[in-house]
Amino acid sequence: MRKELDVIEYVNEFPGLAGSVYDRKLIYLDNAATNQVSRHVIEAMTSHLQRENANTHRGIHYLSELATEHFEQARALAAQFINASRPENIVFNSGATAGLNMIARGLEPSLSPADAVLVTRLEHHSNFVPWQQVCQRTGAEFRVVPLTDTGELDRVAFKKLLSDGRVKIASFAAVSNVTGVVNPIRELIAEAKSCGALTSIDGAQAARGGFLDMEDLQCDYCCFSAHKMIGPTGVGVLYGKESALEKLQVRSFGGGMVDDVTLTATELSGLPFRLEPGTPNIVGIAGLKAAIEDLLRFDLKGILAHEKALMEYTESSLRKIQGVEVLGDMVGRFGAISFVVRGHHPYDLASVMDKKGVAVRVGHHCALPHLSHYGQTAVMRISPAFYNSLQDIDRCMRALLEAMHFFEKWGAKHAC
Amino acid sequence: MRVDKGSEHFTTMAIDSSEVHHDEETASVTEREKEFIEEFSEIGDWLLQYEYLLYYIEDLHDIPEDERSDEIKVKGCVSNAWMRLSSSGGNVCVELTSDALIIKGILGVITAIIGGASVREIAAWEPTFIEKTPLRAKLGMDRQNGVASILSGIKKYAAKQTPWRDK
Repeated sequence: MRKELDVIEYVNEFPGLAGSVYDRKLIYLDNAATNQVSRHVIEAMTSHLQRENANTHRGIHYLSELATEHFEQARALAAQFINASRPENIVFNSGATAGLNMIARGLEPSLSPADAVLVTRLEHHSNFVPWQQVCQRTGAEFRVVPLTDTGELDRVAFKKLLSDGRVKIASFAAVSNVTGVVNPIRELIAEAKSCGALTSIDGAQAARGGFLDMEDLQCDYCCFSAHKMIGPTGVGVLYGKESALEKLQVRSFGGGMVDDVTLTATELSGLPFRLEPGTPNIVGIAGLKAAIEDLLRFDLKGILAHEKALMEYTESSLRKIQGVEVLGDMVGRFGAISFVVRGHHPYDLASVMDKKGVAVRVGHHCALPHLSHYGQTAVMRISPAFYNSLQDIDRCMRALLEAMHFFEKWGAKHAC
Repeated sequence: MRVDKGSEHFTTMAIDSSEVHHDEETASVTEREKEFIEEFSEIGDWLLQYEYLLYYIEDLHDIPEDERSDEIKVKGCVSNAWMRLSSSGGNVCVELTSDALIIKGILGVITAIIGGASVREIAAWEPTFIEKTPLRAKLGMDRQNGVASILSGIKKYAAKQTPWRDK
């Protein structure tokens, strides 16, 4: 195990970082959208396709049994990764969005106009829209916790919105994909549970940072995606306590999740299989397993310390640039920071930065309610990960300044 | 055979329009587009390409900020555009703007290409200046779809304004 974080060594483990764009070295700072994957992940997926490509839980031949064995090992490892009590608490799906939608649709039949659902204003659309839509269909009240002036969750409002005991489920993010604010989810979960609510955590932005410990948090549900924790796209996990998973009505049917089907009735399988209809993304799960193996062997403490330093350096660098307005004013961001530059559209700036090899994201980041808190519809986001360096941040700032300089005369002439 | 717009021979006009009018009366739009394609494609440097686009902002009939309502908005994930169309004397007046300068430049290109053209020319025009230039790679799918949506809106409007005998 490494004692100190050696960024160069980590960089070498991620082939996607070695590329160049427009003849410039790639500086990849869009990790809140998708992480790069390691050689180990690529090799695991390639090996699966070359040596054990068969369907799982369906065949009796050697390849199928081997694929099934490794598939269930991945499930056990995912449980270990988030300190879940049993592998059966882990449901594989296509990602956090699928998991959150499964929870919302699964609980929908139990909601009525007497109930309320609680989310927050800093949610990603995948943990906002499903609940909004479910409430519109069932008549349950849709409650949104506001943010404070610093962009953090309003804890007083959170408590107040729970106090009448009508909230059936409270669903909130561990970490914001826009501002990187880290919610005090242990305390929020405890508070919601004390008012009789089920609790669901959107862990998509938090999984890489070791924030998800189910034994410690005691939430009912938690979702995360492989591609935001150095795994491949198209695969994720819905964690649920057994009692919580039992509450989810099955809304999607197909193969691999039934024990018996007659002309008139169907007997569903037990958990977790009845929540995994159809052929899963088996090669993706092989990649997820390899990603977890990587994160478990990497120096997590060193990684987190480095990511903290990167975020602090990014924020301090941004705040030194005249015209930059950083969204939120909180301590301890993880994985993302967003901002606007007065007089410039983020699309213009990012287009020029792209030509200088710097990959950042612009737009609403699938978080329009969150952006509206700041009066914005499009912002630029920088989201480093542990394989980035302080020099990457310097290059990013240089590219930003050059882009601002390029557009200055046009912006003044043709103010948008 | 060239047919006069004022001709009484409607049948002849209908038969000939696809062969003659498309080629001759859309020539100015097509030629202007061709000129843009050739000039833009010759610029190898991406920074100069952006500068070249930004100069086209001058061609825009901008929409004042307080008139950019949701009714005329072309929504996008990253940037927004607004489009207002009107017609007068057989010509389309296209007012376009965006909150991003690069997109404003592209809207300026559209304005310059179709400026002063008749509704029939615009309706008959098949835009190719995105796919035939480095803009295709630079814009990305979402912005291409947004620009395509604007072009489609302009063409449909122009087609509606085209007198029936000219269709």
